[in-house]
Amino acid sequence: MNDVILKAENIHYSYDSDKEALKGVSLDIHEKERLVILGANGSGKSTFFLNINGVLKPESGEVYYKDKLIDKSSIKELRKNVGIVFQDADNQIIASSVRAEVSFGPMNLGLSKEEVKKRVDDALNYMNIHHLIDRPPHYLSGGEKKRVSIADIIAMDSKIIIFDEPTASLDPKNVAIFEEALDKMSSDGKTLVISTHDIEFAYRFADRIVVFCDGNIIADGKPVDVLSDSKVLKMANLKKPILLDVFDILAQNSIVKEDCVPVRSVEEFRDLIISQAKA
Amino acid sequence: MKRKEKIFMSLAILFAFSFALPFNGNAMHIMEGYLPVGYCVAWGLISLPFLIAGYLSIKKTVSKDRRTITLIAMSGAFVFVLSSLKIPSVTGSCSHMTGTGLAAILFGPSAVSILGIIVLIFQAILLAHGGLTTLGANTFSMAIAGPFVSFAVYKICKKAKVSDNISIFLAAFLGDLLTYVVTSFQLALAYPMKEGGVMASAGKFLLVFAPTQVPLAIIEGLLTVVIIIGLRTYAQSELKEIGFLEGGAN
Amino acid sequence: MAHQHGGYYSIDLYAFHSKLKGINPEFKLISALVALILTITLNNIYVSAYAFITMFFVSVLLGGMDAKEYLSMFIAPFSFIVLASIGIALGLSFHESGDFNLKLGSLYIYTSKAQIVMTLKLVIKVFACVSIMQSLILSTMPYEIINALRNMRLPKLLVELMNLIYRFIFILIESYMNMQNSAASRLGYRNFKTSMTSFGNIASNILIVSLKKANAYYTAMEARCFDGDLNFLQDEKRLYGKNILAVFLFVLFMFFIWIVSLKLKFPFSV
Repeated sequence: MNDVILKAENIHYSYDSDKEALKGVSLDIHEKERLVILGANGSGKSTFFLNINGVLKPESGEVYYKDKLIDKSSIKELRKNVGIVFQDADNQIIASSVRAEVSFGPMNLGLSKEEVKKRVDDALNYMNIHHLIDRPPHYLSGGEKKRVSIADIIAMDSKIIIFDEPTASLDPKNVAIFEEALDKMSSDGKTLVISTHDIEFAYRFADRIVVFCDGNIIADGKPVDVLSDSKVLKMANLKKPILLDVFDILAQNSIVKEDCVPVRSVEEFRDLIISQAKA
Repeated sequence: MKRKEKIFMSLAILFAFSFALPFNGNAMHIMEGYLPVGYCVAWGLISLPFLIAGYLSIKKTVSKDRRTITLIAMSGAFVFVLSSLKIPSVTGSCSHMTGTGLAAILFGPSAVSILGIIVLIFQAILLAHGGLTTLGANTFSMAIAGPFVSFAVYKICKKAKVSDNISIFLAAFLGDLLTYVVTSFQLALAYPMKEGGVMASAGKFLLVFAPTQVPLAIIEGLLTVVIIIGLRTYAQSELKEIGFLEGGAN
Repeated sequence: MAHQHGGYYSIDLYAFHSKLKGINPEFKLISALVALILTITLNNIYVSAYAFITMFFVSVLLGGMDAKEYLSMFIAPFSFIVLASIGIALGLSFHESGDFNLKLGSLYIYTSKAQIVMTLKLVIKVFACVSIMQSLILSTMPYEIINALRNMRLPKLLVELMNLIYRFIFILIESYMNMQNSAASRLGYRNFKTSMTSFGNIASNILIVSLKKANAYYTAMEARCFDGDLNFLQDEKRLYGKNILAVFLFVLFMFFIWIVSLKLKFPFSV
């Protein structure tokens, strides 16, 4: 596994005095990993994201970026390196044209005008939406808005990109476009942290899965291990991915060998069945 | 004057009125081109001190807590949207609230002067209501005179222990009415009558606009009451938050 | 009719499609203001007609807007123009006066040929001025106008507020449309009384939604390193000599028409 890029240690946070939203969360995020975060609404995922981006200040506990403890003076550095793509693009987009919107982050970093211009062009090209550069946001479709909100973060060149329930309001076509973009970012060396309720996506995409429940982390490990743990699934109200379920049934009934590596995509499943049938 | 001419003249006036009434959307914005340049500048200058005061008050709020900037902007957007919505009407005509009475009660009159001029600019560039050269005059009637009266009426009624709903109604109703009176005077000053001068001319404009504006002011008053009741019922905690704007009543 | 936002229309879509959107926005704003001031000051029916016709040419032929849609834009100011014209054309008096009058009890409503001519001149001037403003807003995106104001040294806080308000307006309109549809689907506009309640409830809901969203926006801004100054990159549109020349000729011709109409004593020119 790669080096730890961000370390959260025993984070406590509450919005009001009677209910704690985070009850001592510790998590190491490794460089270039594809980390998926599962958990019910209100389990503390979004609060955690805001804590590790520096918008919220933990009541107690520490955040380290590349082994450096984050304090008041380094908070801007943290915000620069940990970008959040918010769940609802409409709550993130603040400018009145796509150009202005994507430039907002780089401008805040105090870059030169030429550099900002270059960053904006590159980020829009990256997301294949350069033709929208002069549009006001109210003349964009839902999928286009999502891509603009991702370009917002690409333009800041954040090392870690957090996606808060990115596919919640996207249609299947836009989900496919989004997953392609994720693969591209991943192969470009970005560290991706994604919260979702889409368990099939989590199983297919993640290197590692972390489960939040009631302000705590209740599971952290390889997708197959976490998603096979019936106790965890029950606590967090999650369902086993269909593919994994089918695989387990086949393995239990010795239709496939039990020592096979569980399949993670329909293609892998097909190859497995064909090879088993031949054998 | 011949009988025929008299009939023709009455018909012409009736026709013009019946033509104008169904479209009385935002009818009190003085359109581009109505005011001579001197009046445009003069109304701008008269509005300026109020705008500066409003600017300073908003600036103070924002520098105290930077977070309020999105809140203030949302309030401005709210006033714009409110004033662009078609309100229910008995006659089927298409009309709009000014929203300034409500805004004055919620946000206080000095902040409303700035929000008001921005809303007027957007009404000009997004809806083609009002105009750029008449911005000063419209700002004075809609963003300054109306809101200040609404706010004053509201405060006085509160002091006099008038019931809440009646205070709100009176504040919005009188604020709206004053906007219409001020606009009539603005037109009268630019177009005085040969005999009788400005006062006679103002009376004339008041009369002409009365059929659309007086019912509208009543509806504005009623709607403002309904809106504030809604806010009280559903949004106690949010209402506290807008108390941030200095001078706001809630 | 103009672009619909659910019974609500906004002009910026026209500007977005205008063929004149490439012209430097500050130049457009200043030209429009100069043209407005001249049309008002010269106060000459021929100058007004010239400006009106030229602006039609600018918006429809150069800007590429549909002529019918362009003319429909004049509906918005229509009611004010009619009512104000009645107010200006007619007089009230206790004794008979003017060329034409009607007796109403002890009052006389009167008008005169001179007053009617003056009103007509005014209406044409107003149409000219409205069309000048239209040619600006039909070819310039609102955010460009805001940015032009910034470059013209409008206080920063106002520019920031204007930028945010422009964005938020459309957010709130969307919420409004959803709520209105849901109210209508539950018969919320059955009669005048339910309409009043529905309208009031929706309006208060929009305010609540907007207050909640205001916080969400601020958080999202902070997450992108916002620390107090709202700065955006703006497209810089070059100012071309041919644009300056065109406006210069337009203004020159305005004066030319004015002088000729006075010298040759055209009817109604004073």
